[in-house]
Amino acid sequence: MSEFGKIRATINGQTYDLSVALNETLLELLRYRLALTGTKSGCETGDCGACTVLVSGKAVNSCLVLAVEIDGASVTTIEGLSAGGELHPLQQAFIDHGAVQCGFCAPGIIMAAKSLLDEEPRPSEEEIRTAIAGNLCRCTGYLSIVKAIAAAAEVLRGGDKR
Amino acid sequence: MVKMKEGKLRYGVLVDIKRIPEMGSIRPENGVIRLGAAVTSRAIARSPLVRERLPLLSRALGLLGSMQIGNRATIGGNLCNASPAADSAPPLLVLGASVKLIGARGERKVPLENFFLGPGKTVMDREMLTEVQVPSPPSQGRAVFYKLGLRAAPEDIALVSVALFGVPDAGGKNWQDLRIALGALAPTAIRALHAEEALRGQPIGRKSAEDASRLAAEKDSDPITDIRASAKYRRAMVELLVRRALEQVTREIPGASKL
Repeated sequence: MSEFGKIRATINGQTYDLSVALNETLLELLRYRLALTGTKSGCETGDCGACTVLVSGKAVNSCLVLAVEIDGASVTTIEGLSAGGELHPLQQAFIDHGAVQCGFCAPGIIMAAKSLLDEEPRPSEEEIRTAIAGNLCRCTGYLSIVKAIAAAAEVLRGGDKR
Repeated sequence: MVKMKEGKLRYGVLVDIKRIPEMGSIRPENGVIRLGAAVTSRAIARSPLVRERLPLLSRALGLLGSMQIGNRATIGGNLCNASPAADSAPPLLVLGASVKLIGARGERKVPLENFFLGPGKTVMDREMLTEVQVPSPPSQGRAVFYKLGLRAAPEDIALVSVALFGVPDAGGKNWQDLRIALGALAPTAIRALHAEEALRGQPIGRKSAEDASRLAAEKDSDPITDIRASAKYRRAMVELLVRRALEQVTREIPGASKL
């Protein structure tokens, strides 16, 4: 039986005081303690990216982060992108460009894209592909995903591309 | 983390050292860049200071893994894990880096070429790696890093990697100094000493490049056949990549004779 540690973290804008098992991963904390099941468990080894979330603004594989490590940090999950019930331009662009088929990779790949656009508002196709290189998709072949991210980037820059 | 989840590593107690301030800084000091062991590979790759003073290291660490991995992988971790394919090792070997180790017996500084003992093994003995120190390379030199992966995205593990730093002599006709390091071609990352010797003082050109790349493949490399590639393929690739690296470095040297 493992021991517990106390952490305070801000997740999707809300601050939580939590008691977590020392060997609990951030992914487990999100899905099982907070019922934020948008973030998916895929490979559990950092290869597929389905568990991607932002910790202090940086995209990481939450399956490889211990829950205790987010003490004092802010975390953003896919649920945090649609604040107030309105879809983020990335989410809307994925729908508009047919970039979601089974949907399993989508939350992780959208969080990776969000991290890219936060750093680089005008990414080239190569920069987009590099940013999502850590996310695997079995359905789409990535082309619609790349187009959706480029379209969302333009919306965020003030244009309106449907 | 991955090995712990697979049950290959088991610890009763883990101490998180990532929040110690000195471990997280990148500082220039007297011509040496001091990289804290806990600085992430992505932070180093994107650091304006590293991009300007150590572009070879910036490029290599940008290819270490996906964005998600780069935001967690640290330079200390990459070295202590001591994979023969570690992406930080060939550039740091070529740049003449040293590591600072702290343990019960005190502090010591170990040149990186003496640090690795074998796959997953280093000279550390109940010690902690706190810093990587990288001297600024001579300004007239040019460097290149190549990493061959299984798919088009180079962020996967290296089948073969080559870091090369070349300094021409004052006339630009001969190599004054050459440092070449190879990854995934031996039990540890290594300097290609036979290839280097074949180039030092030699005319910059096709003949010396062909001689050196052949020596890198035949004498310096000691590859294995594994799930990713055969030894024969690795040798063929290192010969090609060393030659291409020499061609590229030559192209970047102003006034050097062309290959």
